[in-house]
Amino acid sequence: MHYSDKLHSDKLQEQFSDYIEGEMLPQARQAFELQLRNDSEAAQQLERVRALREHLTQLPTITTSPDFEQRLHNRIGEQKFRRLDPFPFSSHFNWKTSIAAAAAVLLIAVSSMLFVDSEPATINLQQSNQTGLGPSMPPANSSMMTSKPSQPSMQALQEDAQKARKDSTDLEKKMNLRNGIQYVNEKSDGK
Amino acid sequence: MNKKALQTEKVTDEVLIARFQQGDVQAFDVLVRRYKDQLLNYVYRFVGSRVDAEDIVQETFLRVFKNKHYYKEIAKFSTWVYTIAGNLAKTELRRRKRRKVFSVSNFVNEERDYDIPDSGRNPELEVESSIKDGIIQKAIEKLPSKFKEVILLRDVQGFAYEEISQILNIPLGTVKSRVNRGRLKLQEDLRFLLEGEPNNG
Repeated sequence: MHYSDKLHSDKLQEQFSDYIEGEMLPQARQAFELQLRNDSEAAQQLERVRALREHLTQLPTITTSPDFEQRLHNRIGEQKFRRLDPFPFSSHFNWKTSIAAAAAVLLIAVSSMLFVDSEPATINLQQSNQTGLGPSMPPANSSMMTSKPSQPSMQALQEDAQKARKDSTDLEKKMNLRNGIQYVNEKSDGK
Repeated sequence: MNKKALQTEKVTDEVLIARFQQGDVQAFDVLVRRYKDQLLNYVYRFVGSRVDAEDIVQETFLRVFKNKHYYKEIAKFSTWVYTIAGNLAKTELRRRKRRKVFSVSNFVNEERDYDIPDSGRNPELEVESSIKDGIIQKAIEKLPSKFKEVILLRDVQGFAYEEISQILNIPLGTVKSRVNRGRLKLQEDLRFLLEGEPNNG
């Protein structure tokens, strides 16, 4: 259907509805009736709308089954009973299962908390071993570990550890070099 | 007020639901009696299966019972209950569409236990009328939901446009335009039936 035809059709349908349902003002009604007299196709269409409405309003009615209310009361009763039942899942779960599940959850929670607390300390120990500095650590890092055992502090620790490892390697190289020079000097003196 | 008084007196739906909200279960029973058949017809025309329709109406009243305190007197009780039933009917249609299940009753008109108007006990007329009703029902079922709901509420249930607008929570203009377009679609589908009418112009 062309757009203008559709618009015309929609407008006409609106007029049919208003006319049949008595929602048209008297003046508009008269004008519409005049239009219908000159347009037999529109008049036929109006009759179809009227017939359709009659069919729809006269469709046979059905009634609920005789036990409708009884079934409804039963369903409401079931709902109430379910609400009053303090242990609605008792048929599916027993006490032992519930306690075991609760214990498992508690165990997981406690162990995860311990893991979070101990993780920075492990890094600290590793760093101490690698640097050879022993338990003494820069105060900034130790304060971060105690007050904020979170991701940024761990990262800082790892950076420190890397830096210390590098320092240690440099020191080792220097020591080796010094030992080498000393060895060469001793050898040359001996010669 | 006893149950008989609640039924015989012209107690409004809004008074009944207010009583029910205060704990009067008899008022709920009266509302069920008032609306069960109306809602069944609405939902049946919507989903096309009597069994499903009755289940939906049961569910509607169950929700009214459980959620009675959600009703506010700003709207009519009929608006509220039809909104619940309509939403459940639409959910049922969506569920069917997802599962691609078609009720056998959509194809075989076996649910003939409704009250056929007495037309002088003329079997031929009864059969003809029944066939026509079946054809119209099929045409209604074919309509998209947005047209179907307004046609059912306006032309089958006889609601005013304003109330339909409240039930469906859409503007009045949209309701009117959907009614017109729904009627146009039905006319196209039922053209052969409507043109054969003896009282046509």
